[in-house]
Amino acid sequence: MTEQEKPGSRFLGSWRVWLLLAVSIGIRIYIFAVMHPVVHTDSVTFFFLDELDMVRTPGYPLFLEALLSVNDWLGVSVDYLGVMVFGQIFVLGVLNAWLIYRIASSLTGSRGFALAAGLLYNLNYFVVGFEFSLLTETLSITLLLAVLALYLKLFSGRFGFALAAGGLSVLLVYTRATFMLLAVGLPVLTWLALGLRRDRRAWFRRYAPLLAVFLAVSMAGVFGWSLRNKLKFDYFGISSLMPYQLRYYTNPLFEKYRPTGNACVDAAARVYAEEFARTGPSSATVYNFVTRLNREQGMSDAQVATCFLKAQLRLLRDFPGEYIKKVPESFASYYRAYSPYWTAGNARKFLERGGIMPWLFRGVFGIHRELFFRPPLLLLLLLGAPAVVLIAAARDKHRLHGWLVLLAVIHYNGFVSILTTNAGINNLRYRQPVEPLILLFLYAALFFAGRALARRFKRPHRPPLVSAPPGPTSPSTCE
Amino acid sequence: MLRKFKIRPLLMALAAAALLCGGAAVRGRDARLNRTVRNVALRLVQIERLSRTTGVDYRVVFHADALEVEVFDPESNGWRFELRKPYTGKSRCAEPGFAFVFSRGFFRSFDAGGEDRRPPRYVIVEFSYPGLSRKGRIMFHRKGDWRVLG
Repeated sequence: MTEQEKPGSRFLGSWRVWLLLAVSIGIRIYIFAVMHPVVHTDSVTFFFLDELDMVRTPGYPLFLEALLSVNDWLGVSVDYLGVMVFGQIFVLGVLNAWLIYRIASSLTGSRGFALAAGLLYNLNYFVVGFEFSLLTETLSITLLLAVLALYLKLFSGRFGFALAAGGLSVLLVYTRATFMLLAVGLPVLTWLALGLRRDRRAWFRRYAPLLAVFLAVSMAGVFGWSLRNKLKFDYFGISSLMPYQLRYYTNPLFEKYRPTGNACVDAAARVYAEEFARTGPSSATVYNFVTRLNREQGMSDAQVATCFLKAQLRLLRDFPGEYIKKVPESFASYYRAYSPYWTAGNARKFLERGGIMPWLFRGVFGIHRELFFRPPLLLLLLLGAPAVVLIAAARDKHRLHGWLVLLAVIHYNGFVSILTTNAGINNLRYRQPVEPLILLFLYAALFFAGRALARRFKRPHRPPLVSAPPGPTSPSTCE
Repeated sequence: MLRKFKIRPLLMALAAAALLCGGAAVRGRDARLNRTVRNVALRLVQIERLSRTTGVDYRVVFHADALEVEVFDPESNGWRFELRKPYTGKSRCAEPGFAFVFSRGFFRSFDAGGEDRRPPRYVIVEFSYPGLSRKGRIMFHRKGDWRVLG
């Protein structure tokens, strides 16, 4: 019998959930009492839902507006930053711990392991630290885990899961536009993992409509916001952020730009080069660059973004070697980095004080930092752990598919982040949404390896073959 | 006879709708006043941060029915209009004309009116809503601090 089939397992399963929720809330009461909210430069662009430009997508502003509207109705507090952070810590944070539990439970069949994974999530300061920062990371984790949990449930055949997964996928893209192609990639991966089988026609007939619903809802959401940008700003796209991220790769190349004859593109390249020479890669450079093009060339923000992107693609085409040389640096700043930098002054309160909670946070943080910093351990984390997990799950096609989906999401996020931005410490932040999944592979690998070893040692002792007792006709063994 | 599980979602939806309508009737004006104060406070946080990161000076002016933000334009050596945000619903500001300047992320000066008056140590900006006795208040101190009083 598996854990889930044992008598009373439903009750036993729920006590683990209650324990997880109690511990998650308890730890977050401590966090809320100690932390101060972190307001980043990007944070202030999320405050007003009706002022979103082409760069910002509406997911996180919608979430903040929902929290603040409830506060307006109930009149609970005038500490608005505190209200927003409260919602992130106690709603999203606790939900994330539960989602990790759900996913781990369904992919390993072990609620005990799932409980441990969920509890460990709460002690991971690197991830939990973003719960009191007004940035999109925590909400991205929630939505990503929810999409994955629902996507895996989709194969139970219920239409509602496909609809819900699609809807949440839209919210995920609205929060983090980099996940735009995830809804396309997942069905393809599923087809490769599960569809190529003897009864593939029956499988296709059963699951293709559900996958089509998931994909259609996701793409409808992407199209909808792109249409809104087209109508409002004359820019068809989910977000115009791409050129402002890509510039971290192309900044030093602008001085080598060769005019193409396209007035808009050439003007964008010239003005950006001048502003970059003045203020470097800072936000002021972008602000002054856009303002000057608005004023001097009469260009709209949409035209600025389009021409800026074209200028950069031109530079990448003319100097591909310069781009490729920087990719390892991006890879290192994405993976081989572990810092509480984003939590500002909170790091000292949570990692450097005395007491049991700082000791726990420090311990988990230190272990994870070693894993990401040391190349052999990083290789083990990125390649070794997934290999162990996939081998262990190989016999169960659905569980193998589930683990493959998680692995695909991890590498998809890495692929997009590394190749589109070389932003130093910022790359570390882009790893956030998949950080819990990377660590889940590690924990699961340790769990499977430990379980295999335990089973090996527990093999029942085989008694020796019984020989006939010595009699008068058989020689005595003592002779 | 309808099975229970079909009635339950309908009852829950009706209860939620009743709660919303009842809430709107009872708390609507409070919510709008709270929202006005909230939007003003978050606007101040936003301007503080933007002026720090872009190095631009911002001037915020409280009118009776809207908040106006101006940006200092070094080319014309004057204030350029940036945006105007009306307050929520029928919220009104009791100190129309009060203005203050953020420079490089810091609250530099405020203008409470009256050229020949010494600037006060602090100013409380009040927001009111018709039919409500309570006010929403934000306090500004001459030395650069500000906070929402409730």
